[in-house]
Amino acid sequence: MKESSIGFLDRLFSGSNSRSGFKFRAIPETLFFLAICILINYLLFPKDMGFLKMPLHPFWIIIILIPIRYGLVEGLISALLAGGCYYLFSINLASDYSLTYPLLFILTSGILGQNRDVLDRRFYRLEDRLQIISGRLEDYKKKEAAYLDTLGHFEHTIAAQFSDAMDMFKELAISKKMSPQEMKYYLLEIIKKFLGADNCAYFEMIDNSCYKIYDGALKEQLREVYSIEEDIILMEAYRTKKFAYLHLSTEQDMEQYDKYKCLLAGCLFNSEGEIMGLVGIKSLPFASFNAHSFKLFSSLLEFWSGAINAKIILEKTWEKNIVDEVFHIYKYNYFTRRIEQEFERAREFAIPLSVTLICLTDLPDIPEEKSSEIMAFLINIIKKFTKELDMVCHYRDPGMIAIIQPFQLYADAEKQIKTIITETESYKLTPYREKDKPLALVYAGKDFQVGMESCTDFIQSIEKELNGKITS
Amino acid sequence: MKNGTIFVLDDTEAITMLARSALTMYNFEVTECNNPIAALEIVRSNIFDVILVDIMMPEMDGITFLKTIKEFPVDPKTRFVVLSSKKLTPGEEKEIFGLGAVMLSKPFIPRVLVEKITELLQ
Repeated sequence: MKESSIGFLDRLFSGSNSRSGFKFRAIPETLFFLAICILINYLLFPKDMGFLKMPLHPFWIIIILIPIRYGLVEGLISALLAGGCYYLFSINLASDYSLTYPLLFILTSGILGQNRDVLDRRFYRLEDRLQIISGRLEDYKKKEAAYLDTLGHFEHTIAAQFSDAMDMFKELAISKKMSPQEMKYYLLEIIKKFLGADNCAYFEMIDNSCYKIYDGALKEQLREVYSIEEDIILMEAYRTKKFAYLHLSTEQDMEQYDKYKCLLAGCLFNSEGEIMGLVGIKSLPFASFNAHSFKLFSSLLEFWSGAINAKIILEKTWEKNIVDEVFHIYKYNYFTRRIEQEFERAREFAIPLSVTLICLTDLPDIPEEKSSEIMAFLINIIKKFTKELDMVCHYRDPGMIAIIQPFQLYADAEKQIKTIITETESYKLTPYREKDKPLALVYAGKDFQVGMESCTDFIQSIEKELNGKITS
Repeated sequence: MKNGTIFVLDDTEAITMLARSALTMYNFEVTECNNPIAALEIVRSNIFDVILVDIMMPEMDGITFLKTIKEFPVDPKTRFVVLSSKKLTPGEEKEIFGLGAVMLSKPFIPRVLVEKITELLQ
């Protein structure tokens, strides 16, 4: 638009490099063609340098071409040069129209040059408009690409949200076999998997101090003191009992943020609605730092709170039930509690106490469908040969049974165990995959000795003896 | 080296076994018997540091058993303990003291038994 208002002098002084500036090459071109015309005139008619007064003088070629080619200013200059030459070479003729031609030259070149300039200006305007439109077109193309990307991302997000929700439920199912502590660590694994959070941690508040219990990179329990006051986001989540996140606008914001503090944090609640633990994410890909991830993160914490609570309640209920309903013997957790009590009683009142461990070795070699049957059979024989006061319990590992026998020395207990072994062997059971292999039972036991201080040492010594027998 | 030799006589097997187990834990050598008639023969042919006798037995009561063995050439150092679950009459108590025996009520805490026997042997 600016080009349209450019003036005559502006064009003259605006420089040859400018799109609308004066074209200096018009002058040598004019001079060159004038020289050619004069040379032709001289060669053909050396005695008449006025082209024999031809009705259409050859200089008209220059007068017409130069303004058409370069515009008004260049045309006028060429007309002046041509007019000058015409005047110089025809002055000797003293004819009447010696000044008429130069004036006609100027007039004609002026009209043609002005037309050229008008067309130029129009062209430049159109060119400018084209550039603007091209620029806009590029913008539109970029926007279109962005819209398509966004659309694709939304479609992917919707699909991912659905698949994430399904996968999360599957993960919940996996957690059935885990203890509450294992579930706490596994939550970090899931956060890493679903959110791509490489650096995350699980915290607990114990006696008003914050401890880092699990780090996403380590499976071991840590219990490291963590300064929650210096971590704004974790503190915010703890204070408000809500999900909290850092407000970031750009990826640079994220890069500049202290990697040792949380970007996102949320709470796990117990069944009374109190904070059970806190989970903090310290690093996350910027692309994942969006509302979808936040929602997923808070949903995960909500799911996991419920799952951990359910597990804790289940374990408590399980612990309260001391008898295994399948085999009708005491559970291992009851054994651990009861043996402590019996040991203390033996120490305090000098009551004899004997403990025997019986191991069904090579249990893994027994087909799964038969193993329960064999265990039930063995337990029945044990119960048959033990007294009412004796306690038959599951021991720590599958296939191991512990018998607590108060008021009895191991010498007496061993007689019973030998009877049990003999009775079991008399059935000649061959439950293993190797058909000829008979049922193998190994046992070891000890009685309480005066001066024993630790129940754990007492049990460990029996275990050690049993392991020795198994390996031999 | 054992702390002492003990003979336990009670018609209830659980009592003799408990006494034996508890005393064995404390390094006593224990002989048990559930029949007073058979016990007479054992006591006659062996020397014990302490003899524990239940007062109520079907074939022979504890006092009669002690009177009988007093007629044997028993070691004068042998001590006697009478186990009883019932309240004794003054006449029975007098008889027991007359035989040089001490009383221990049933059921007993094994530690009390061990302590009583250790005390007797000192």
